[in-house]
Amino acid sequence: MNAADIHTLAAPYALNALSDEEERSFEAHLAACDACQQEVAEFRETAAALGAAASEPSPPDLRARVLAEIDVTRQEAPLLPPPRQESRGARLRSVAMSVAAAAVIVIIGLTTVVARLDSRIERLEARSAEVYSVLAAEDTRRVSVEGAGGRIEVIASPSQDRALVIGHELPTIADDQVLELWIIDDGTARPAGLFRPTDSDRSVELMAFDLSGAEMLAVTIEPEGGSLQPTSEPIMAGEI
Amino acid sequence: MPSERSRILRSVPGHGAPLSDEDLFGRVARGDRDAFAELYDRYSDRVFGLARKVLRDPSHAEEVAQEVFVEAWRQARRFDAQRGSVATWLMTLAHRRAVDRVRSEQASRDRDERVAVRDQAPDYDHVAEKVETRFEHDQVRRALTELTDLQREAIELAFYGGNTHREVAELLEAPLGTVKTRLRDGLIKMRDNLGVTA
Repeated sequence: MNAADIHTLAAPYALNALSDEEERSFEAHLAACDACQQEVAEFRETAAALGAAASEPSPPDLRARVLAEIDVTRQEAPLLPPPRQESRGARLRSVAMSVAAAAVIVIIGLTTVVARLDSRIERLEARSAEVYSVLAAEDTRRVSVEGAGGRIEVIASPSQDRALVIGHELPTIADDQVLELWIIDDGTARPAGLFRPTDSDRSVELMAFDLSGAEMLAVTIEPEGGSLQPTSEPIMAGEI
Repeated sequence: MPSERSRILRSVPGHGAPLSDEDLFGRVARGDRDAFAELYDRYSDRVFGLARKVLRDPSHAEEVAQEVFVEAWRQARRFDAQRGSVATWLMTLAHRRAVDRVRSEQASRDRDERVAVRDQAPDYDHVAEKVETRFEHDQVRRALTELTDLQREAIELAFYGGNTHREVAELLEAPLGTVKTRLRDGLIKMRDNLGVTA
């Protein structure tokens, strides 16, 4: 294929309509051709619109499977920005990066179990560090919030801007409802966080929390997504 | 009414204006699972729909859609907003995975079936028509109808059919150079009609 011809491959490339071999040779060209990069970007966006036009309802149970899988899937580290200049060094780096990326994929394939454990440990460590920072702060306060709806405990540190929330007794709520925590301050309520009772997560919940000036905490049942002001009577309350 | 035993609270997102896809994906890149669930809700129909269009078999499409979202999670920190939108990135990934799947299945089929596929070529007008009636996006539909029949056939066989440009040439019994020109001219026309500026 001659040099003039290769530009015409931008369209089939953006449509994933090249053979593997053609694709490799076009990508080698693409790395150094600004006009083709621009055209591919525009054609890809056009193709994405074509793809979106084929939208149809996804199977409802797919969501839970995807979310369960990402719970045990580690995110990959960011890459350095790809080389843009036309130079042998840049091409070599890009080849080296592809080789490195391929190697990373192979290694990840071989060490899935280790990666899963690592990712869990990382998350647990990060979380426990945050929990300790709240518990160990000089200004930590414990507030019991209770009522006919049950009882929760809020352990808050104003200096850390964080709070732990522990559910002791919780009401059963509908799927399209949430529990909303409010900070009551001079007779007005500020939203402080949304919760759902769950049986699966055995950790306490950590949240950003600004307790300054607060007099009381309260919990209401609100529609999914929460409300900006309480729309029902509190089912639990507690003075600070 | 309180339940009998202690249960655990989990925070859920809410409040405020909806995030842009890019801001949402920024949160995904920081490992935010709620943001990822929101991304899924925004895109699952589009990703699944495209995979189903290319693969036809719903269970294969479902597997591909799952792969695509897990890959989006894994690669989130590598996403570069300078190079295009989240929507384009996700749809490109979805199409790529669907096409890879079609090709690996094709490779395992024998030649007789490929000949049979070619013999069915006259039917593609019918297929194209069904494709169009299902479009949800008027703008895209309009842009497609403004193409010549030959441009539209070539784009649909390549993009929705998962065919390479050589296969499209074979199906349409047209020279490869002609097919390349149709694909390119068709995409340029659609790009301009949709006001795409990358």
